[in-house]
Amino acid sequence: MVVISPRQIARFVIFCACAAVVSTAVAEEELSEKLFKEGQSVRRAFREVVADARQYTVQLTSNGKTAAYGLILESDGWVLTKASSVSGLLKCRLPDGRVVSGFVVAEHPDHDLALVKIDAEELATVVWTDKSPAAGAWLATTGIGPLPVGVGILSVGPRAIPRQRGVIGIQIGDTRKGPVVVRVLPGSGAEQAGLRPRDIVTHLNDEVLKDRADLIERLQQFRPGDDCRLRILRLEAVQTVVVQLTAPLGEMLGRGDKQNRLGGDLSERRSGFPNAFQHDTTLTPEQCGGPVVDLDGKTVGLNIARYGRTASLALPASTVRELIPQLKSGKFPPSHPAAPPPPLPSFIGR
Amino acid sequence: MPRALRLTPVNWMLAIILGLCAIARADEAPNQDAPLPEAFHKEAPRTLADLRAIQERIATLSDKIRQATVAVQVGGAQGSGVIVSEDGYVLTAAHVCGTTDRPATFILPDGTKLSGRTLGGDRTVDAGMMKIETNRKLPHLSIANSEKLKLGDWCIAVGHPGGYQEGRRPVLRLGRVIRKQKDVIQTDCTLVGGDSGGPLLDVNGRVIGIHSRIGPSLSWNFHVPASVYQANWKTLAQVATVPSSRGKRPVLGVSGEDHDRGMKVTDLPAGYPAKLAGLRIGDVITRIGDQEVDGLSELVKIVNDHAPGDELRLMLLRGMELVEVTVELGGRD
Repeated sequence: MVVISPRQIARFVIFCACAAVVSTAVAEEELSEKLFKEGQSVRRAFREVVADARQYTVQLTSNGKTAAYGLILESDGWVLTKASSVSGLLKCRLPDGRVVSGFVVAEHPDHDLALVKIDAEELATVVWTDKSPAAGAWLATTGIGPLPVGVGILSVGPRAIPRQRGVIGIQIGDTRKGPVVVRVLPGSGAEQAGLRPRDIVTHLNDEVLKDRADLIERLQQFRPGDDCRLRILRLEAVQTVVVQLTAPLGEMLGRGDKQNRLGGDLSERRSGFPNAFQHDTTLTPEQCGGPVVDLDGKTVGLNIARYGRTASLALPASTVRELIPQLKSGKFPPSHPAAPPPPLPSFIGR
Repeated sequence: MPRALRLTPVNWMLAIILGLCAIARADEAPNQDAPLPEAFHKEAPRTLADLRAIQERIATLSDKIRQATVAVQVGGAQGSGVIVSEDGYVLTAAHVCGTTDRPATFILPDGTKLSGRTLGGDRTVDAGMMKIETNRKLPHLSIANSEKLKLGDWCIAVGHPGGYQEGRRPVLRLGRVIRKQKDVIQTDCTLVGGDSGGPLLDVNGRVIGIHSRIGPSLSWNFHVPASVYQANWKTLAQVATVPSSRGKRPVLGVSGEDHDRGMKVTDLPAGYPAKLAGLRIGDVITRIGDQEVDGLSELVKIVNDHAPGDELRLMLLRGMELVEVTVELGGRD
């Protein structure tokens, strides 16, 4: 796939700068943006389609920043959303405009699904469908307004999405004392955590590291979004650093991954789902976590990630419904519990 | 929401210039259009009935258009293609098939692998053709007259974004024609590496374009119009002769040994491409294009899969640094 840079276009334009300007001709040569497949005019046709589902769609903010959408599971204030998007102090904007508090009660790490308790009652709840969308079927993603925030078609039916390995973002060398940081890649979790060249990494999650190969092998098990604890030796002093792994970046990216980001951000946790279907809606990471509906207006899935330039992923309704009892069982505690820990809801252990 | 091409003064100028380019008229091939639901003729769908009509049409096409879409592997390059004849002519992008008369592998949606060869290509428009060598009758699609396309026409992109994945059938995307020129069609069907060479279809299931390139915005998806292939069929379908390197074998010009990171360079004979491109003794070649280099024999294999004149992107480990060097292969008898 070849990529055109704006500079190439600018050069071409400057070369032809003496062309006569006829402004009316321009309007006919390019389709107006509102008529694009996800343009406003097309999304307006989906107003009826999303009318019901928007009544059970919420928007969550995490520590003040827009985090994700969610869907209302039960009317006394139970919400499902994307787990890795929500942590800390949660606020939840309801369909009627009220903003209430919430906290994460349970998280299923394999599917990145979270159960959130919000401070609200008598809410409209999700209406699922058992029908799996056919290839090419329209899918609409609800937000908090009357129109869907995105529309698309089913691109690939449900399948396991293999996990992508997470990276710390360093070039690793070897010394007699253990693996050493040779370079820290810009924008990486390592840079964020303050790792520096010449830091010697002695332990990963409290386990001694033999050498560079050992560190590389141990890192394979992590996914983007996971945290790991590194003990480092810097100028003879020992320090502990927590690094959040990210998807491969910088020059460690194959060309394919750089292209994948052309046009917008991808979800940090966007792979390693046991079962997800793929659609061509261009969602932002913050637009994931809520319902995606078919033309009957029923929820066919929960958007779980912006996967790539060409795709978003959703957990099928059937998969989500199977996970609900597991989330309620108490066996999947949140990874970042709110402090102080809230009292356990009464249904846990029911 | 797609982040579309913003109409800055520079882009307005470009749009004007493109608009003033004369569009050459090809022969008017008669299109046997089945009557399309009204929804496809509207500026935008209005009603639920319109949406259902669009959905139903895509559902009926989806199997047929995917069956004729193949994943393509030529040397180190991966991409997509579309079968347009029962005996296996495949349209693809020139940058996927590279030089002429090279062996290629085609993967059908059910996972079957077939072999074939690259034919001709025109790099100026990024059009290429290949041929599957097989006795079996292949599913195929017909080619439409892309000159009849109008802005706003609904279209479907099929391909293998991110490269072929076992068990994943070709991936569908829906969009509309945003801009249409003699040598390029722009749509909002999102594309990414791996899609190159795959088909853009109209809502009759006919090929109207071949995926070529993308830009920084989500609506910058560019396809080679089908008309380019129809106009240049004879040249594209031939194995082109390149007199200066006919019969010559590709050469890089390195001696080396296996290294745990790849192939370590131990000698660089003077006058050969590797030395001229700036490689140094001690460099470890870790990757060529998207292919990992495990050692000397792997490197030799990759070089032999190319032709004199091909550009290879080498990733080298030089000391602690990763360095990228592009080398044009020479030819030797």
